[in-house]
Parts: sequence; structure tokens; C-alpha cells
Amino acid sequence: MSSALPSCVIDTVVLLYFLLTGEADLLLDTLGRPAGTPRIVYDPDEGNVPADARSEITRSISYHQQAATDPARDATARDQAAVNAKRLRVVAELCSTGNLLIMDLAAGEYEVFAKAASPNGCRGYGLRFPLGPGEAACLAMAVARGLPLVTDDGDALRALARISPRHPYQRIRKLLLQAGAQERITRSHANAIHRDMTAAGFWDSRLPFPGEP
Amino acid sequence: MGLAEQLAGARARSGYGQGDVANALGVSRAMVSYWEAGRRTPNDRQLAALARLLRVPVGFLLGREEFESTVDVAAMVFRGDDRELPAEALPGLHEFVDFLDCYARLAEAAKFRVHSLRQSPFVSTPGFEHAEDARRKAEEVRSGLRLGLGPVGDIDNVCELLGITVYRADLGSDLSETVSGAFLSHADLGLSILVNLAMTPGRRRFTVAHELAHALFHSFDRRYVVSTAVKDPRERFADTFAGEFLMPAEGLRRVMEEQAFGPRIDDASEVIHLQRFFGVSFITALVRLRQARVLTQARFDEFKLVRPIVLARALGYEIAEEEYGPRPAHWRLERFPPRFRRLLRHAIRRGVLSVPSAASLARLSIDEVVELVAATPPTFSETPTPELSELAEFEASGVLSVA
Repeated sequence: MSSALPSCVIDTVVLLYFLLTGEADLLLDTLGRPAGTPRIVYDPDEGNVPADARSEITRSISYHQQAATDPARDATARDQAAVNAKRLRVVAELCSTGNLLIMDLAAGEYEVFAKAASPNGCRGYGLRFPLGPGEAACLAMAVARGLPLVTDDGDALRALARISPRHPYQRIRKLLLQAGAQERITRSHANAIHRDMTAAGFWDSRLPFPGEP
Repeated sequence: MGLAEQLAGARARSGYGQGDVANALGVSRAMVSYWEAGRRTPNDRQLAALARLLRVPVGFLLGREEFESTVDVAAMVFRGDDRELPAEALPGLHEFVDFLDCYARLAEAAKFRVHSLRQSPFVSTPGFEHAEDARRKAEEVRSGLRLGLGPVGDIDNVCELLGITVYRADLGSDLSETVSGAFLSHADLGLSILVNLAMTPGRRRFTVAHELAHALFHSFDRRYVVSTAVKDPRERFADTFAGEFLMPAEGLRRVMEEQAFGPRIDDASEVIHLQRFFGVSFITALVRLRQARVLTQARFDEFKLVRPIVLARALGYEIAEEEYGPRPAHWRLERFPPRFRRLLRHAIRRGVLSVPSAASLARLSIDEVVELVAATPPTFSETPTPELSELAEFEASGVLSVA
């Protein structure tokens, strides 16, 4: 599977919430295996580097691990944080089995990455604030490699529309609806996943999907 | 210029050696040297970390964007000596300046009004350098804020009320070498204070009061002040101001009288009471009592060896978790003033900023931003909480009924 080309480029927020809800397999089945992500989103080779140098998913794992022992949180919150950390660690297995490919920025992708992640450059894409480095790297790879961009970042999609109009993309809601349409999950399961994601902090509309009262 | 030259230049300007960069990124020094020689290229994770560390946009490192820092941190020197700023304080000083720039830009984009003080409302002219001036000015500021003779309360909130931004950063824990705080007059946000997060809560409060003195009385001719252990007349002025502002001599006498402590402090438990009443460090309380001549030198020498947290706990005082030491570095939201935290929440909820962009801008993890923005905490207790019991008591008493 490691020689296969990735079906898409997934950004941190999408990967994070599918991992946190224990639905990484659903994400990959719906998008097609293997999917790809840049090293800034997850780097299986980073080792024990200082916090500020970690990839975004590794920072999340540390955050939940530390929250799991934080005396300022109640027992329920600590237990939930421990579950979150365990679910996030599944990312390592996705990489080792070749289901998630870690991609490095190619020289031709630096231009978009640099502009999107910089305070001045991002204005060229109609943005007021730069994208996070994870989103910027995903955008650059998706554009250069012609892969669908999987993100829920409105600014990243705005930049994508500016650089490559009609470029394919996926958002979390659209993915869940697609998974329902492909009969991978029922509509009520899609709603339950979406509720779990918003409970975990995913900032999205609370409206249920069609088909549920 | 290409990545190699840009990286070497940015590192040199930031004052870091190759070893510092290697440690911050968790790579070997040789690898940094290879990057700077153009023999290897950092990956995207390392590039993002380098940009964060060196306080430059990624585009600048890649040679695709011009960038000029608004403040030369290495030149932020106003002290009585010619030592260079300690290396461990540099990232925090840069972080402070970056934070203020980010705060101003975000407030503008979100149309969020930031109450900022651009000029001291108190008379401030050259010559305010003597202890008596400092005491008089502290009384004037307390009076202006209608603080009476009691404790100041949350000094960060007092500063916010005045329109002064207070930011906390880790400037290093060896206080004989490093910086306790700094003051900066920012072009958009006005008077702003930085305090070293690695200090105890009492010492942080003292530092904020000390920087407040610089902001209110030394800002007419200085754009920034960095406070270190080495003293000059303005630093002594600020120290005296801070002591009097946090623990006014008249207030101290009144509390001692009300508590029937007698004319002299003879028991360390009395110092603990005064320290906790005024919310200062134990050492600040000792110094103030000595200055007020209610503590003999012998008692001062004896009490300075007391372990104040142990004694306070034995005396039944509630000890806050952070008194045992600074919280772990990953809990970084507390660095920001409350108004900025509200701004971040406001900007994300109104779609001005996405969560990943906010995380990148504020140098937080995505999870920290998620928790800040969540409508309710991610986990919600279903069992009755002490807060609900308290509410039930209010409801039962009828105080909530509005006529």
C-alpha cells in the first residue's frame, strides 16, 4: 500500500476530530485509502522534540495526556482526556500500516505554503490572517499535486478558490453526508458522530443533518 | 536569498547560536549547520518551528517575503549597567512584542474596542527618582483608582481598568541573571507590561506594580524599560512605588492595629497574615515591615529563613496550586490578558479567524484554542455541582425575583 498515491490531503482539524471520535477508519474509507497529510500535521519520525517543534497531532496527544492528570479538572474530564489521548495515538498505526501517507513539501510547493502562512503574503489570497502552517502546507500540496483538499478551515477554502477555482475539496459535514449516502453509516450515526465532534470542541453549526428531527 | 542565507541571518539577528536552535528543535547542531550551508533542507514541521523560534514569517525564511521587526529587542536596554540581555529572556521579550502586534491587528480586524492608555494620566516629569516621590505617587495612583488603604486585589485587572495591557512570558527562573519584567509603549496598544511567568504569584504582582511605575512615571521619555536585578535610581523608584502601592504604610498600620499586633511584629504568623491580606510575597511583606520600622533587623534576619507556604498552611490559610510553583508551560492561555482571551473567542465565533489560524497567531495548540472557544466546557457534569446548590439558596431566599 505504501507505493500507492494518496487520495487527498487531510488537514489537522479534520484528522483530529475523526481520531477523537474514534472514526478514523470511516474517514479513510470515505476518502479512499491511503490518504496523505504533511509532516507538520503528523510526523511519525519526530521523536521526543520540544513542544514548540512538534507536529500538530503530537501536540494534541501531549495536551490530552497532560489534561488526563490535571488536578484542576474533574474526574470525568480527566477520564475523557485519557480516552482522547488513546484515540489520537491511533494515528501512528494509520501511518505504519500505510493508510496515512506522510508527505514532504516539494520545492515547487514552497511558494503557496510561504504566502498562505505569512502575514503579508496571505493578503494575496484574500485573507486577513495567515493560515496555520498545517493548513498552509495542505493547501500547497493539494494545489500542486491536484489532490482534493480535506479541511474545515474557511480561510483555507477561500485561498483554494482564489488559487485554483473549482478545485475539489471536502469538509467534515460533507464527508459525513457522503458516508451516509454511501451507506457506510446511517444518518443517525452521522448525526451522533457530528454531535460527538462538536462536544469535543469542533466549531460548527449545531443543526442536525437532514433526516433527523 | 535562499533558505540557507535567510536562516543564518535570522538566527544571528535573534541572538541565538546554532546550539540554541538545535536544542529548540530537537535536532543536532550539525543539522542546523547543514541547513545554513544549504546542504540539507528542514521539513515543513521544522520550518514552522524555525519561523516561530526566530519570530519571522515562514515566507521570509524561504526568501519569498520581506520582513522587518518593529522593535529591536536587543536594544531594549535601560539599566544602570552594560550587560547584554540574558539569552533565556530573549524569546519571552520577542514573544511580548509579537503578542502586542498580533493583539492590535486582531482587534482591528474584529472591530473589537481595546481600552488602551497611551499617555500616563498622572503628572510625570523628569526627576521622579527618589523614594519620597515614589511613595507620594503610589498614594496618588491608589487615590485615583479609589483603592483606599486596603489590598489592591487582582493587579492585572487594575491595569486592564487603566487601559494597560499585561502579558506574561517565561523569561527564565534564575532571577539573579534574568529579567523580572519589562514595560513597552506600543504604537497601537499604548502602555504595556511584561511579567516573568517563572516567578511566584507574589513576586509577579510586585513586578506588575514595579512596571506600572515605569509605565505611569517614566514613559514620557522612554519607549521601553527592561527591569533586571541591577538597580539605578528609576529602578529604585519603581521598587519603592510597588511596595507602597501594594502594601501602603498607612493601611499596614491600620491592619496591625485592628489585629492587635502591637507596635512591633514579633511572630512570623503576623507577617503571614499581612502578606496574605495584601497579596504580596512573604519577602515583600518583610521588607515593607522593615521599611515601616515595625520589624527589627534581628527579627527580619530570623523571619527571612521561614518557609512561608509551610507556615501559612499550618496556620490554616488556603494555598493556591500555583504558589507551589509555576504551572506547566503547556497551559499557556494564562499568559494572555483576559481582554485578549475574550477577543480571540469573539473573533473565532464571528468567523473573523479560524481555529488553526488563531492557534498559529497566538502560538497556542489547536486544543487550547478549542477549549477557549467552546460554548461550554467539553465535559459537562450531570451531577449537582456546588454552584447549583449555591444558586438554589439564592432562589430560596427570593433575592433573584425582580420586581
